[in-house]
This record gives sequence, C-alpha cells and structure tokens, in this order.
Amino acid sequence: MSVGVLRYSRPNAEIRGLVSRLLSRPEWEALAAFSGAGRAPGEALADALRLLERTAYASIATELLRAGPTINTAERAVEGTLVDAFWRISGLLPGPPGALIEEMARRLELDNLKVILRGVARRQPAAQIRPLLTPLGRLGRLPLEEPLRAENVPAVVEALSGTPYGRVLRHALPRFQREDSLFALEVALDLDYYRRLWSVGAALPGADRELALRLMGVQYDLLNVEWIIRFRLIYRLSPEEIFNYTLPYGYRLRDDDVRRAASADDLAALAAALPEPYRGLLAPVARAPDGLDRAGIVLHRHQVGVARRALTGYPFHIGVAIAYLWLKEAEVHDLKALFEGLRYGQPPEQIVAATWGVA
Amino acid sequence: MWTPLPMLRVELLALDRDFGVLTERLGRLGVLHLLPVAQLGDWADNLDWPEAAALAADYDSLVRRLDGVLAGLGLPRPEQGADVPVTPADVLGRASARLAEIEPSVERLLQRERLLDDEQAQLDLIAAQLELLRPLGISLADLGRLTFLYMAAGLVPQKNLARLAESLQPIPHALVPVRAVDGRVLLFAFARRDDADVLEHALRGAFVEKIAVPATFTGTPEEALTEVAAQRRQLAGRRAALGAERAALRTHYGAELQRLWREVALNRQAVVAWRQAGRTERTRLLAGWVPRDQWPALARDVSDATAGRAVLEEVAPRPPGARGEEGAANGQAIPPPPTALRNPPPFRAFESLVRTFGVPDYWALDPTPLAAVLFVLMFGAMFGDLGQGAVLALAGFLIASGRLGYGQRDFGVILGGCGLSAMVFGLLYGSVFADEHLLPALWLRPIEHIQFFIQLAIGFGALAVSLGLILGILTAWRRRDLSAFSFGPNGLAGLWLYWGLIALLALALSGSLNVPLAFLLVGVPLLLIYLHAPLSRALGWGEHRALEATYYVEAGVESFDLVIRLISNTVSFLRIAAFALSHAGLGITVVTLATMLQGVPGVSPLVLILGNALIVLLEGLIVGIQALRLQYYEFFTKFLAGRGVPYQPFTLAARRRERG
Repeated sequence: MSVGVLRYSRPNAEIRGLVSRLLSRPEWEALAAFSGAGRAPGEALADALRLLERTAYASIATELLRAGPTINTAERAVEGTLVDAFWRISGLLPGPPGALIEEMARRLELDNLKVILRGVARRQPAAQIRPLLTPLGRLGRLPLEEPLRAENVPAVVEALSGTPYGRVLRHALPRFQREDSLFALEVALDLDYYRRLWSVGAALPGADRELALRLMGVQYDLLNVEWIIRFRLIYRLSPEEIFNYTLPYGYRLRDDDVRRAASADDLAALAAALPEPYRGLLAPVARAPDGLDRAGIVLHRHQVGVARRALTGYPFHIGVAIAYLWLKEAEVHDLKALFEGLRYGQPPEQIVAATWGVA
Repeated sequence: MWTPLPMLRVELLALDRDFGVLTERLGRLGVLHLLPVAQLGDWADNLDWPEAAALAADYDSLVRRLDGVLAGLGLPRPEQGADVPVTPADVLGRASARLAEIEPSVERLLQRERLLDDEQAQLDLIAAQLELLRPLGISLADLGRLTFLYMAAGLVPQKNLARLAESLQPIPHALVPVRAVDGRVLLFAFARRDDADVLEHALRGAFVEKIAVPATFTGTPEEALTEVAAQRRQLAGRRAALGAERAALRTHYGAELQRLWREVALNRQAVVAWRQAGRTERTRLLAGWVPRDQWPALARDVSDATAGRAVLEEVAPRPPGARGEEGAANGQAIPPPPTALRNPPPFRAFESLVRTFGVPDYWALDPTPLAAVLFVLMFGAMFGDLGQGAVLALAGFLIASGRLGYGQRDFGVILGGCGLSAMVFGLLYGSVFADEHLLPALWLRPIEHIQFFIQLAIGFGALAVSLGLILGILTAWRRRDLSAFSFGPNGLAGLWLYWGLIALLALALSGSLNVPLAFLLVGVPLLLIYLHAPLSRALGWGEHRALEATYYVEAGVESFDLVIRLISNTVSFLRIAAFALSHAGLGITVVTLATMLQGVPGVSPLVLILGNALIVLLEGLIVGIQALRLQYYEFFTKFLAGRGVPYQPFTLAARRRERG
C-alpha cells in the first residue's frame, strides 16, 4: 500500500483535478441545446464554442472562434486535448505505468494510420488527408509525410517498413492485394496493437498489474463483442474467421462465448450467447430497428460506467489514470458527436442519444 | 576586391530573324546574366512571349524521350557543348521526326525485356516457395491427390498461430508447423474435405499467406527446383540474345542519338533563355546584366551577329536609396544587379565561407579578405601548435592539389591557411605536438597568462565588432541609405553607442564617470536609434510608413536588445581564450599520460600519436566551428544581409567560364 501511496499521491491529486474539469451534465445539455433545425451549422457551432469558452476548453474555443471555426478544425482541436491529456498523464507516471499510458496513446497514432490508408486507397492527395489526422504533437513518433505522399497502399506499407507497424502490414498486404479491401490491413493493425497493449499491461508490477488487466479486460471484452457484432451481422464472416479476428484476452468473455456469439444469426441470438453483464446490456436494443447502431453505444456507455466506478474507492493505483483517460476519450467522442449533430441540425435528444458519457 | 564586380544593365532589341544567331553568340560569350523582361517595368507587361514557353515545354518532352531511348540502349548522356547553330524550331522538328523513327525499335526491345523480367519474377517466386518446402521429401503431386483430407500450406504470422489453433477446435484438424521464416511459420494444415471451407476461413482469419505451387511442377520440391533452374537458364539465354540485339541497335544508332542529344540540349538551353525575353511582332527584347569590363566585347559581338541591326542600351545601376530609375523611392524597383565576387587567388577560396552565410548583395561590401584574415587568425589563436598546425597545413595542401579527395580545392586552401596560422601561433605559444617543453614561447603560453589572454580575446572582439559596424556604415553609404547610415543600429549611431559603451566601462573602472558624460556617450546615440524612424521621416530619408503608437514600444525593446546584443557579441569572443586554454589543457593531459606510461615499452609514443590525432580531429573541428560562428554571428550580422543574387551568366558552353 505504501508504494502505491508514494507513487500515486501526486498523480492522483492531479488526475482528480482533471476529472473535475470534465464537462458536467448541465453543460452538456446547454451545448446540445444549440442545435435545432433551420440554423446554419456555422452559427450553431460558433454558439457552442462560445459556451465552451466558459469551460476547460476555453483556450481552444477562443482560438477556433478567432480563426473562424469549421466542424473539421473543431474536431481536430478537441482531439488535441485528448492528446494533451495522454501526454500529461504519462509525464506524471514514470516507469512501467507511464509506458502503459504511452502505449494507450498509440491508439491515436493507429487511427491516424488507418486514415492515411483509407485516403491513399481512395487516391486522395496528401493535402486532403492531412486535415483529418489527429494532431499528435509530442506523442507522434511515426514519420507520416512519406506514407501521406505514397501513391498506393503498398507504397504506404513500404514507407512504414522501419516502424512497429511495418511487419504486420507486410504480412497482411497479400490479402489486401488479393481482395482489394483495407479490411485485412486494419484488422491486422488492431490485433497487433491490442496484443502489444496487453503485454505492456501484463508487465506492470504487483497490484497495478491486476487492476490494469482487469480494466483492460473489460475494454477487450467490449471490443470483442463490438467486433463480433460487426463481423458477423454486417460483414457476414464465418465463425472461424471471426474467431481469429478477436482478441485472446478479456475479463468475462471466454473463447467458447466468442465461438457461440460468432455463430449467431441475429443480434438477439448473439446477445444471448454472451455472459453477463454483456447479455443484459444488449438485450434491450437487440430487437430495436436500429439495434446494430445502438449496440456500440451501450457498450461504450458501459465502459464509461466502469471508469466512473474505478474512480471511487482506494485511489492510489494505475486505475485512476486509465479511468480518467477513458472518460476524457468519451468526452472527446461526445463533443465530436455534438459537432456532427450541429452540422446536420439534429435535435438535442438525438445528439445526446449518440453520446457515450452524457446519458 | 572589396566590392563586387561593377555591372551594367543591358537592354537589347533585335529583329526576329537575327535572334537565333544572337542567342548563340551571347551563349558562347557567356557574360550576360539574364533578367526577365517582365521585371523591367509596367511598360514591358504586354511583351510576354508565350510561344517560347510552349517551345520550352516541347523541348522538355523531347529531352525526356531522348533520355529514355539513350537509357534503353545503355548509352550515356553526352557532355554538352555542341558546336551547332541555335535554330530551335528546326532542331525540334528534325529531332522529333528522327526520334519517331528510332523509338519503336527501342520500345519493342524494352517491351520484350519487361516480359522477360515478369517471367523471371514469377520463376523467382515459385523458387522461393519451393525453397520453403525443400526440407520435405514429399511429392507435390501426391499432396495434390489426397482423397479424404484437404491440405493447405502457407506462412502464418507467429503471433496468430495459437489463435488459429483455437479457432479450429470444433473440427478435426492437424496443424504441422515446419519452420520459422522471418517472423512467420511455414505451416501445413489438414482437415477433412468436408471441412475445407472452415479451414480456409480460419486460415484467412489468421492471415495465412498460402503457398501455391503450379500444377506443372511434380515430384519432390528438390526435383521441382531442378526444373525451375533449367527454366532460369533458358531465360538467361533469351536475355543474352536481347543483349546482343541491344548492342546492334547501339552500334547502328548510338552516334546519331548522341549527336542529336547534344543539338537538342544546346537548343533547349537557348529556348530556356528565350523564356526570359519579350517580343513584339517583328522584334525580340532581351535584358540582363553584364560586367562593365565585358560591355565592349558584348556590344561588338551583338553588332557583329546582327550586322548592326540590333539596338543595345546600357544603364548603370543606381543605389536603392538614390532617387531615379532604380531607386526604391520610385516604387517598383528593378531587381538589383547580381553579385560576382572578385578576389585574388589567396582569398578566393574563402568566398565559399561568405557564400555559405549568404551571397552579399550588389551594394554590399565584399567581406571575403577580412573574413579570410579573421578566420585564420581566430583558428590559429585557438589551435596554436606547431606540429598539429603542420599536419593541418599538409592535409590542406594535399586536398587543394587534388592528391587527397577530389573537387575540394577551396576547403583545402582554407584548411591549409588555418594550419599555417596554427603553426605561427604554435611558435608564439611554444607548443609542438601538445608538448610545451620542447620549444621556447616566442610570445606567451596561454595557460600561464590566463587573465591577460582573456582580456586580449575581449579586446579582439571589440575590434572585430567595431570593424563590422564600420563595414555596416560603408555599406549603408554605398546603398545611399542615409537613414541606416546615420541612425541605424549598424550605422553611425550604432558605432557611437558601441564605442560609448566601451568608454563608459573604462571610465567607470577608473572612477571618472559622470552622468552628463554617460548621457553623451551612450544616451544620445541610444536616443537617435530609438527615434530612427521618426527622424528619418522628418528628414525625408527613405520610405517610412506612418508610425503607430506601438512603434515606440517596439523601438524601446529593440534599443534595449541592441545594447545587450553589442555586449554579448563582444563577450562572445571570450571563447577564443577558452578554446586556446582547453587546447593547451588537452595537450597537457596527453603529454602527462604519455610520461606516466613511459615505463611500458611502446605505449608512450602510441599515446602521444593517438592523443595528438584526437586533438587534431576533434578539437580542430570544434575550433573551426567556433571561428565560423564568431565570424557569422558576431561579425557578418553587422553589415551583411546575404540576400544577393549570384552572377550566373547565360552560356551555351558545357561549363561556365570562371572569372579570372
């Protein structure tokens, strides 16, 4: 216990401070209220940003308003706050805990890589792809210029040959070339990344290891469920193939559960094949017309709930950092959902329905 | 030597029919630095020549095609410098037509070669896959004839193997890993024929790269590899035949293609020059800069080439601060003349040092001689050692004469100069190969007179900074920039301020300072610099936009910054003393170590040699960088903006003529 106190007392205090600066529910409701049919998206966005000037997003909101905001620049700016959060938290935690946080941040780099692959596959010029990338700042270690300027996907893979992603992409490239689909590359990247993340978590000492793997196990369960839903019910892949596309780690989800779920023909059967609490989460949305859309949302909301619970109780452990970053990520997702909702003039209820952390 | 080569601006109007011959003569003469006609002023706006741009584009395309054909036949690009007339339209037509006749033969050859390459790649791929299977002494044909089992072979990423095995749990199967290959495992997977689909899906999910050997290959992998080797030999034979065909084409067309290339390259250079020109219906206008001493030769050649039909005008450039045609006071100014430095051989090598900072503009002074002297002086002072200096001087001589390295003459001369300077200072310091006991010091040993040496270094710094400011004043005068000359931080006020600060320090140290004197020495020049812009406006010197309130705040900060900068620039020269002392200290270390190891046979001389080598290489590099830094930052910034345009005359020769 004493080691945890020594290691986490200052980080815990800082993280609690950061948690307190997350948006509150009244602030969310006020933000969502700026939508409404008949308003120009730019106007609604500007109003939303003026409200954000009274929150922890004040500096980026002011900057956006001065430069003339667009949905794209607003989304990149809030993503930048997530990057800052990762940077700040990793700086607070030296050694293996900091390494875990840094590895968690790599997922943003992975997302950028997928954006580049998609852009290059569609033959978009670098100038069109670059604005879609999350600004990683000091966290970015991947040289992106060469992949951005690649003429085709194999050239992107070639450009990444000296990086941690090079080998896994090279092995998946023949499938891409046969099927002319990025699916193989993206799945290969995801599997490789999450396996690596798990190994970093497993390298934590003592109680941190147990707690981190428990939290990550929940995350991996949710990822596996989400992927099974997508691969089975949307892409209609075979159970054997789906099995290979899932992560071999988790908290409650076992291989037999994965097999059964991967053999289901509809969302209801899939939910029934899962253990609790996932069965209970999906059952209410299983028979809804938009069940597939809402399934992902309920899973992420569950993750947010897990994060909030992790912030209660004994505070001097890695779980506080992981939980805060999950909450921050959910908030960034929700802000982006808000901006998209403002773009399309969606009513507040519809915007809130798409969020992870607000409801 | 102290100023760039004087230039004249030339405007040349010639008839259309004379322009080809004229271009050729100008190109052979190689003295005219072209100026785009559009930059002559508003009056030249309607004189653009779009056909020249189109012709240049056609030539680019032709050169690419020619390059392709030459490369296809394995012929080198010839050196330029053909002695052919400049007739771009004619050459373009003729060369295009001839190339259209030759290209198809070459293209057919290349096409067959590409097909051969594809076949080769296919064979290589099959061979690579068979190599993987080589350790298995099984018949490929037998593997393909299994009755009850379904088999697939491939490479699976090592990390995916466990998950693949798990995914196949529901069906009877066998996974036989054979060996590891580059992070993947060669795997044979077996399942019942009925479960073939399940196996295939699982393999797909595990990113297995299947190995597919064509059915034409039977027998064991070893036997199949023998077949592949035979096919490879056949391919080699066909490739040799293509090579012979290429040699025949080369013999037949080689000389002609290279002659064509030279003609095209020369005319292309002419057309590129034409893009700078203007035109009316019957005439062509060319403008540029020519060294004043070359003007008679240019005028003579132009008259000769055009039988006196051309009109040639020359205009002397005016400083930017002067009123008149060139003056900035008239709004859009014609770009300043290009800069051609003209230093005698000992200093010429140091022009590269100046150019690395930036090409001096035409109106600036050429600091090369001063830069040469200061650089070698500073280097020598920081690296004073007779023996080590001799090593550097020898290396410099060998490099400059081409005996060591190639094409680094300037560097060799600079290194040689530094070496000689180091030798001189070595004699003054009494140091030879790091040993200060072999020679008497003709002057002093830095390590024994540290304080004096420090004072000397700062004194030298004050001298260098003063020299820089004086050059800044002279440059402002050449540019007729009275504002910068008088009130600028690098002008008279700046020099007054600097010498005032030095005098202030001296008076303060001697206890003779009083406030009125301090104000006169420092306060007055600082005030002039602070009020630089409003004073210049009031006197009508130069263009100064209407002053905003923020000007006074900014000027205050800049004036304060100037004082700090002048002091720090001077103190920066302390590093001369610091590196001289560290050089001496390193030498003492080496000699002491060698002395301590005298009892061990052979080691002491080795320590001396290696130690000296380390000092020459490491400290030589560091000292060189420091001398360069002092020169660039503390000295050049006082007078050199480095925004000049280098003199690059239009030439049709293979090499530009060097200025003698």
